[in-house]
Amino acid sequence: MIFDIKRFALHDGPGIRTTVFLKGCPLSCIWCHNPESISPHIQLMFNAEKCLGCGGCEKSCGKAALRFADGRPAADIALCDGCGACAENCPSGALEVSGVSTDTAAVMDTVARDKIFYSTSGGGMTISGGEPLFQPEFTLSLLRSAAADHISTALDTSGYAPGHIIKSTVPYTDIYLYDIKTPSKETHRRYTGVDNDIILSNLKYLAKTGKEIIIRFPLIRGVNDDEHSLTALKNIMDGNGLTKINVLPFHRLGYNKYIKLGMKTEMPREQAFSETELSETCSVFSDGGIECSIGG
Amino acid sequence: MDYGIYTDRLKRISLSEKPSLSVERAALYAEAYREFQGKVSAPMLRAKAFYNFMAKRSLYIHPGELIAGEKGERPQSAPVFPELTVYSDDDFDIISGRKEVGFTISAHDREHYRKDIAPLFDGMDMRSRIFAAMTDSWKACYENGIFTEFMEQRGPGHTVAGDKIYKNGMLDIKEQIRCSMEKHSGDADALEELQAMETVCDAMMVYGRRYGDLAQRLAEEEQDPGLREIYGLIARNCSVVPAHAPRNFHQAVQMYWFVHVGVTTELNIWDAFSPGRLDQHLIGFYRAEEKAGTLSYKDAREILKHLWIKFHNQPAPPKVGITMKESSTYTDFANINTGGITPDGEDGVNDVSHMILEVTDEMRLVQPNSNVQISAKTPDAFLHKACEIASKGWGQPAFYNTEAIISELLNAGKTLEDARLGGASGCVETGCFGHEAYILTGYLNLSKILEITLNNGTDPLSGVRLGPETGGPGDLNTFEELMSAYEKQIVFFTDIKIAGNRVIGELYGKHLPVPFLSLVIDDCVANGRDYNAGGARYNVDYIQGVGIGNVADSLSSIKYNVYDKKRFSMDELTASLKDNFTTRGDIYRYVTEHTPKYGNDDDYADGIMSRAFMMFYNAVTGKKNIRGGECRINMLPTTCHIYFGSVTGATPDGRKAFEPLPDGISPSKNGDRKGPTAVLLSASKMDHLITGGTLLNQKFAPDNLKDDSGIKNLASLIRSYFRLNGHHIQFNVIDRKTLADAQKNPEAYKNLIVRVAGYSDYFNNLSKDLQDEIMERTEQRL
Repeated sequence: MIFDIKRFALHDGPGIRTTVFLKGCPLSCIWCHNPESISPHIQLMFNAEKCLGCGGCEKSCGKAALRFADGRPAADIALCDGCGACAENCPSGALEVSGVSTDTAAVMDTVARDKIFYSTSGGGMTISGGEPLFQPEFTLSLLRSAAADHISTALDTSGYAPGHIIKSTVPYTDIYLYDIKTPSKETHRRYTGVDNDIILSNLKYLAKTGKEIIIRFPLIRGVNDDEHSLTALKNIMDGNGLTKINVLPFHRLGYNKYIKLGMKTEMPREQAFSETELSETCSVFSDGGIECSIGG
Repeated sequence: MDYGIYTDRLKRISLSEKPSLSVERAALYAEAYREFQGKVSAPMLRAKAFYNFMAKRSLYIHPGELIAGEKGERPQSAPVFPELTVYSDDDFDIISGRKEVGFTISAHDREHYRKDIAPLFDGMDMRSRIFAAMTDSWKACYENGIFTEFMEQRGPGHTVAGDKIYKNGMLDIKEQIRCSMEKHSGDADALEELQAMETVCDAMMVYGRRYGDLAQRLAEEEQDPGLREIYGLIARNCSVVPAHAPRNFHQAVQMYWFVHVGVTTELNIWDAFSPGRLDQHLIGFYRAEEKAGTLSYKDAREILKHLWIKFHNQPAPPKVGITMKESSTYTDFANINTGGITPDGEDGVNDVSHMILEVTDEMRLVQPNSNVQISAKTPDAFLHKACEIASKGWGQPAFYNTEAIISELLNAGKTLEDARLGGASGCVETGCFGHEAYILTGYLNLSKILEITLNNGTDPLSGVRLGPETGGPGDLNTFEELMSAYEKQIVFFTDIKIAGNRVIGELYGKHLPVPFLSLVIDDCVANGRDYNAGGARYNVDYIQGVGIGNVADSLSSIKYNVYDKKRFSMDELTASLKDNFTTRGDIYRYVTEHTPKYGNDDDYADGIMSRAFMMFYNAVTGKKNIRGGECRINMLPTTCHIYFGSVTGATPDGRKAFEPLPDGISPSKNGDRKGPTAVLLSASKMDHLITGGTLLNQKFAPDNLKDDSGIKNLASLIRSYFRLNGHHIQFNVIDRKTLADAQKNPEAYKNLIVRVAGYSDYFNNLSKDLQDEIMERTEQRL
């Protein structure tokens, strides 16, 4: 199950890339800007303001999975086959469907289209999510296919997966974009819903394989932007011999998606980081010889 | 001495002078016509008029300039050409009164023109001859926006100098003319033409000698030692060129410029003229002087900067009517191709190539149209340097694919040797520089032809029957029937255009030979035949297709919605086109949001694009032109996509009535949603190598290109597109906000330059429609 394939992705690893977004994630970070990536099922995204109330969505559903009542569509996901007819027949664009059940061949057909750009730019395919390792067989199959097709691969992962699954990806992955949300166990549990023990131990394992690892660190005010957290993260990187970090400042661009999905959110208020704050954050790492960049 | 101290002042003059009209040329041509018309052959009449002009025209040397010669009487002064177009009083009112692309003219000159010049040419000018000779169906097509006609106000030209003028002076060429006279001794027409060529050689030498004398006098009178030295330099240069071949770098540049002035004042030809592969022509001179220690890199750069100012001093002479709409700009398309490969097939990037890029960057002038050719052998360092300049956002350089150009030329029957000397001129047009007459004859409105197809041969806007009856919308039961109807219409209209081109070509050969241009382009001298009469080694007529992205989307919309998904009927669709999508919101939504569109690497829509393109290709390519060559196509619009849009109603892809068509082979606005890699892959599904050039625009937000990785990604896009055989790509690197602000506050953005379509222009010089269109182009994120 995927929710998007983005071509010409420039911030998910080196060069020009295609990023495949797998749907479903065991974490539920409160700052998540892709909330449709959390559930592993097909979801309707509905913008009530645009809706004309025509009911065309209900009429177009060949599986009788969708009902339009009280001014909004509701789907019985068990009956839905994800054909997308409801969204395609929505005259105002109020209704979208998130989630496509697909397979390796179909995804690789899209990914392979940009091969020529990968070769001129040093890019390739990035698998992201959600959490790609939440669908380990699919991810592994994509990685294998790409490797067989001489397409460079990057895996954007939270690292929250059983050790043997991480291990299985190593032969087919060129770069790991490895998320560390926070080094603190408690904070991690509080804001993502899970412990980070397994994340840190998987990181240790990967570091020993000698694979290229870039740490991706979402910077959230009041959660992980304090000096203690930053130093602790730097120490983890030093301990594992890691030398690259991307700091990703929090933004609220995904907020409307929660409303469209009918999900509650505790997303923090936007308090944008100043240039000075960002460069101070960066210098915690760069002063210690770690290559730090803001954004991907 | 430092040549650079005068450069800024000369540039300021070039930028601040208001474009004006000069009637001097017209008056001197009239004088000669009065004396010789009816007494000598057409080539001799043209040669004698050229001689009269060169011998008597006013000269101009601005203090400190390193290169002598202007087309008009001073910078930004444009000569007029009554033998091509006689301006009426109304024309002058329009030309001097219009907001965009206006020219001043003094009351005295206007009166002189009206009284003494216009009556002599009235009815005999080429514009009148052409409209008198065209059929009614041709005129109906022209008036209703099916095609435009390049030759009705400007002459055939569209060509570029090779290396002949750097190796031969006028005296050497006269020698070649005499040999040719012996060869053609029994052929009266050839002898007339060759004699005319001799006369224009003399005219050019008189012109050079007059400049030499003027410079010598100024040097003697000048008190300032620096200026005296520069006048002395000009005088020395003019004692060599144009009579003899240039002996050093500076003389080579002066030689080109004399030839440029000669070619562009002999007749007002399209795309002015250009030195083309300037770095290849100058590198020999530069290396010799570098070795001898007679010219520094810095001084050579300064000479080139002065050449850039010379190009910028020449506004394209005014156009009116439809021709003004198709090419609404002062820019005259002198297109310099830097880089590429050498005649031996090696990497062509040299010191002069780098010099040209630096000059382009520092001068930031809309003219010359300074671009780069990128071959597989071009070093990354050069490509990156060009990308860095392109990322600054003012539209130069554009990027041409050397391998594609060579393949296109080989495919059109040129030898490899000649193909390697070729390049792109004007906007993107492929040609064998120095050897080919490749004439752009007019734009073809591919979208309008589809509109007419959907109305059974009638133009729904005017109600005029223009095409054959190929079935009303209700009769077209399958997509294949629709495609077949569209093809019939395309063949019908291109046949009218090609037939018109043959008549017009004949008129030019008969009435307006160009003996001076014929000296420069091989093999006119050897053949004893004029450039306009098929004297060149290769002779191509191009027709330029406009709107392919819109046609692809429109056909895709019909196939997908009407025939495949049966969402609505053909009648419902045509009703929606008629009411401009105002009543059926659902149809509008389907066609804009849920229909495969060209530019997304979607084979459904791209396949249709490719089929429509091939219909146009097949309708034109290989048909004979009047000059012994063939007709071919290219895909570029200049500003014609605005005009053609303004005469085309709503289209099945959701484009509203009278909105612009997409430019070149670019996707429709908001049609491409998958990013630039998908656009490039879609565009490459057109077979560029069988065309004479295609034009693709991409727009990026400036913050995407501010760092090294942005530049590298841009370079990768170019390399990839060229591996896919893409012909040309150009970039606008500017955000919408800046453009919107510039539209509101033109005074604050006087120097804002944007890429239009194959050329750059000042944003303030563009019509509001065109400004809007550039703003609406899809902005790609890097």
